[in-house]
Amino acid sequence: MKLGGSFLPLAKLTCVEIPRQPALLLLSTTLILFIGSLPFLITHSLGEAGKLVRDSGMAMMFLGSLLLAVPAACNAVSTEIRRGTAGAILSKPVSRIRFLAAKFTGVSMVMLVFSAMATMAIIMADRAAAIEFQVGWRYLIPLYVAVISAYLIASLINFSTRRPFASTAFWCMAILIFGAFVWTAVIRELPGEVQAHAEIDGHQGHNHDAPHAPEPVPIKWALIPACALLTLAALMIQSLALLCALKLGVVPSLSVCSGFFLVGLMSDYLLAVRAEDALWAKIVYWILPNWQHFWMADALTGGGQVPWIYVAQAAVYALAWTGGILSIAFGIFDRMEVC
Amino acid sequence: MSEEPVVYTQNLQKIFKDFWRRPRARAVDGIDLTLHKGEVYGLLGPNGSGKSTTIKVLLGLLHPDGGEVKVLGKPPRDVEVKKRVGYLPEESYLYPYLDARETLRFYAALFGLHGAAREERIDELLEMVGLSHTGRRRVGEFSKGMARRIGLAQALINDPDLVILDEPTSGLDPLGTRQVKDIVSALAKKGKTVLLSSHLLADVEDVCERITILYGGKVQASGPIRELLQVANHLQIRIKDLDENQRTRLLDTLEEQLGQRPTLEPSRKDLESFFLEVVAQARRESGEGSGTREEGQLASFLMESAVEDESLKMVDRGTKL
Repeated sequence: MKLGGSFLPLAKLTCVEIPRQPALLLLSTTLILFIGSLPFLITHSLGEAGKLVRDSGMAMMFLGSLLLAVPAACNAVSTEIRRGTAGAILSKPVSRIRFLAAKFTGVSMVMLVFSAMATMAIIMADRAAAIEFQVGWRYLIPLYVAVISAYLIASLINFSTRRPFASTAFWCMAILIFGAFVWTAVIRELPGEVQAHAEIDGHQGHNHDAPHAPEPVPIKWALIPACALLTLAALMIQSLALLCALKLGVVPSLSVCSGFFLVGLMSDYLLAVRAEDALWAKIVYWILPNWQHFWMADALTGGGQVPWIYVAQAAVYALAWTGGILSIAFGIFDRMEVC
Repeated sequence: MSEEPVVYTQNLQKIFKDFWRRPRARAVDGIDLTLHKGEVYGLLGPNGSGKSTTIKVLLGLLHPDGGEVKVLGKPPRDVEVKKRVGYLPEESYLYPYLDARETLRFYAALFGLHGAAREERIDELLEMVGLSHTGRRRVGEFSKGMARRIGLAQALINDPDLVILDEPTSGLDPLGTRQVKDIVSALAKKGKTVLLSSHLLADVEDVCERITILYGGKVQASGPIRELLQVANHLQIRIKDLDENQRTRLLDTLEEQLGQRPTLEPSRKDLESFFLEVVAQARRESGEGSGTREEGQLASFLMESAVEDESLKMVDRGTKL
């Protein structure tokens, strides 16, 4: 496929158009803020705060991928077919396979940005929940500031240049969360934090020569391969959402994808034993996406790691499944009548 | 004409089916069309007569259920064919969050147009359709007439050999309608083939050389518009105004010669001409109106390279949207 032709403009436009939907901005903001609020929602959890924050954050990211991928795919495909935009584009020198591949790429780019934001938010939330019965505000405040600043900057830009608010806020949020992540990785304490800790130490009778801030909580880098696995799972959901979007609207597509999501989570329980005896079970087990391969939250407990070689193997599985689903979508769309 | 037709269909059939693949509606039933280079061809018919379906088959968006279709000598789904076709859909299917310039930039990129040449072409087209002043205003906020204008601009961005316009004047004011018709005439003079679908009969009558009238998916009448509109057994004499005495003498003479007394009626303008005169007068007196501007010129890349034809020059001068 020649990328220099109509593929890149279409993929780029999809990538530009999707964040212009206010629903995407609201959903992603809600999810990021929810992940960012987990440390103080789960502060008093008797030694399990870190694990709970990680598990909940990753679950939010996984579920958020489903909730975002379906409307994004439907907006890119079914809405365009219904609205007539797809027909207008296909009357230009754009092959149907190229159209659909570009749509998938555009949606994937946006979802990748969301996954990156969620991963950074999870890492910051994990650090904020590392000390029992305390909230590490030094890791959370930059995240909140990033989100609020993104909205303020987008408002200003919208006011002065009339650029669309929703997409500007989305892209600003991505950049500023990255900035907040780097800030928390580099800066040891917030202004005033040294004094506050000196006072706490004084009340508790500690004897120190000079006031100091608590030692920074190390970044749990193992979260990155774990979240990368979830991103791969999101890629699979997107391909399924795109296939559904060829024929269905948002609600039916969301229902189908949610069904695959739930059954895929339980496929080991439902089919693994039966698959040893029955051919039908083996085929269904093989076809269904097995999300357990991508859910590594338990492996992180107690300092566990997710090896990158495992991520690579999972990527092969995810790409093969995604390729299969997209091939079906290409076949259907090539024969489809576009009004 | 010995040249290969630009559009050729023979016994074209299109049946819409239900979920179970059972026939639901026969939208097109045995349509034959032949369009030649440089011709403006009208496709007429009431709503649901099969005009848009025929156009969508010609664009490769719908698959024919029977018959033969060739566009520029090839099957309509061929991507190479689409490089030479410009299409204005019935509704202006645009991305609502893009502004006018972004919209044209996107469509230009689909044809592989980039850089300064693309920007120059976009400037000319925006100027031509009178939307150069809309800035960052999103096309989703455009009026229907403005959306048609940007739709027309995107249809011409690739300097197409075949222009398919589905209801091009729908939503346009009479001034815009007149100007679209001028553009169509100018395109034909450049050698472009234009297929125009409309149910506004006056629009078609003004610009088309041949027409086909569809009803129920079938061709009801087809041929050169002059021949089709000719009223048998009636003649018309045009003459400059006469005084009362001259009129009486003329009628007496005709009665004496023909054995029947004809009637005399003063000539009337059509409403469109009258409206255009009134607006032109108002513009001279009060300057610009709102919405679209009027200073646009026909885009230079759409102009004939050697513009010797005086009538084309006149059309170009008049074509300001």
